[in-house]
Amino acid sequence: MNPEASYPVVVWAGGPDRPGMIAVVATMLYEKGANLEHCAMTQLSGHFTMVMLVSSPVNADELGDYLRSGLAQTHFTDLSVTVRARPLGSERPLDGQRCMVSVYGKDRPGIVAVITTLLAEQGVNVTDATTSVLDAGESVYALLLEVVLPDGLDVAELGPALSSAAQELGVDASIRPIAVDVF
Amino acid sequence: MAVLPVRLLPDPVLKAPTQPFDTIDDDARSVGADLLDTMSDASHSVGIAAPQIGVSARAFAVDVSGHSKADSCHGAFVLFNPVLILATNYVVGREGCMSVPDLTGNVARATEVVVQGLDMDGRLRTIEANAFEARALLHELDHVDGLLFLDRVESLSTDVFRRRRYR
Repeated sequence: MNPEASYPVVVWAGGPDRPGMIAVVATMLYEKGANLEHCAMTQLSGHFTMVMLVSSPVNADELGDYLRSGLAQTHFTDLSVTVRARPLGSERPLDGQRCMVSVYGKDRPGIVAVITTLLAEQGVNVTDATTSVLDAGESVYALLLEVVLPDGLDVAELGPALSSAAQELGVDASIRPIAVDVF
Repeated sequence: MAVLPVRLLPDPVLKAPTQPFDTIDDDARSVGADLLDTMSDASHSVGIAAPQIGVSARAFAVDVSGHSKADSCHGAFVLFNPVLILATNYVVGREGCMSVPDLTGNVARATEVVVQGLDMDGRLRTIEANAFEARALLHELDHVDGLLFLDRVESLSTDVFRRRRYR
């Protein structure tokens, strides 16, 4: 960890997937003296995408220029990079009842929009989301969310609201608490 | 007999090789008592292994008394030199660990186990456990082998979660 790295930034990078993408970005950040913190990186249908919380020794604009000009010297010229300042104090508490939400059924427009709008209106915070299109003869859409309920909202209240929204979309939805056993 | 601080990652003792007990003497019983004391002092804890209190030895304590998910329950007990005899019927559950703050993970564990070890009097004890007690035993057996739940997670993208808060 480099204590001189005092600019909190978010780095987004992505492009057509191939081996070495994380290595080239992480190495450039390491050589610049930046600290890589919480990251999520995944491959979606041949596109690799990374989002990284970084503390940088230079400001967001300078780090973005450094990464883009550095990548131009490699064979990862098709990797696009965006860097933005990350306001301090943007941390959000995650305390609260955690639940998994599963929504799936015949694919149609608006599933994610309708379901997440309903959750947002109830003050439910989505902490992880994955969606997939499954080809099961006809197209099936699956949306899996991990959420945190606000104080005072019960799974027993949210479940029926989710089900009726899902029913209007012609899909199924369920919600269940996530129990964590700490040893 | 004392409540000891629970060692946290990256303390190397959590990954260090552990020594078996040659005999269950007063020194061994003292480790057992420390395990029981520290376990009952730490809220939410249903198990603790010697490396978690800084002792590189093959011992742990488990107590699932009163836990809603428990079926079998042998009360509070210590096992020295524990050995897994049988493990079957694997089920995925989400685990956290006192030594790994902030993260939880989905881990497949056997829900029916037989574990043998020596008790505080040095007698061979055979524990047949299921459900929550089985998971607790397997989690502690892993600690004795220097394994954390992070070593058991099968798919990172969907199996490791933040427990408490963003940093």
